[in-house]
Amino acid sequence: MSVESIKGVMSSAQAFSQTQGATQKSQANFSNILSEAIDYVKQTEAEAAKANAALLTGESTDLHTALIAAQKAEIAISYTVEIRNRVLEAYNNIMNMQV
Amino acid sequence: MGFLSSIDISGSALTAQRLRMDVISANIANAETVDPVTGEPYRRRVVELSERKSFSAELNQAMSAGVKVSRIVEDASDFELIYDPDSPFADANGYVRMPNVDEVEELIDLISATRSYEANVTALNATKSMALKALEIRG
Repeated sequence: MSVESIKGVMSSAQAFSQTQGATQKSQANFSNILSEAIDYVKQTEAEAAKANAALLTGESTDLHTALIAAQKAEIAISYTVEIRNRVLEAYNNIMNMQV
Repeated sequence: MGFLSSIDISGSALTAQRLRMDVISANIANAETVDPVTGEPYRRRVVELSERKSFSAELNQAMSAGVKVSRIVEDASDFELIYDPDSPFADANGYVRMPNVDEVEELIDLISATRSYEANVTALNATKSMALKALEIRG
């Protein structure tokens, strides 16, 4: 049932946003959850760029911190894209219903 | 814990092992160093590792967040005595104090640090592939 699949997507996306330690109670609508995921991606990307710059300027002496930050950003992007795909799939399921 | 902070635990271990490697390299490099002014030999340094804790608000207890180097201590064992009466730093019996660095022990520590680094990289890769595997859950 399309309604059940939407609930499933929303609960899993909510769990995702809760593990980010969202201090304020986020409302359970698509725009909030997706924007929180995008914020997380932005944050990890910024950290990766900062770690990379620190490595290149010689400020940081660890090779692994830049690589770990880049890996985190890559995983965050993959997750956000997957969430967007599922949400769109659920939305399309509804829109394709014969009225 | 965020869903990616488990990678930070392995990252902290990589940082600690790299610092340990620096200390071992310094010991090996200074195995024959004596201060030219005072005659004081180089004292071997050792890294002390301790658990790094962070407070988890969900579980309301301290969680382990990896490892950190708590301090770098100097080895208090005796200096080596080498018989060299012609040296300006020789004592009454002709012995010169040399650093208490045993090269063999340092090389073993070096291997241990390398293997520890590699083990932590393996753990990090396993965590990452576990996270990516979750993406294969079909809707």
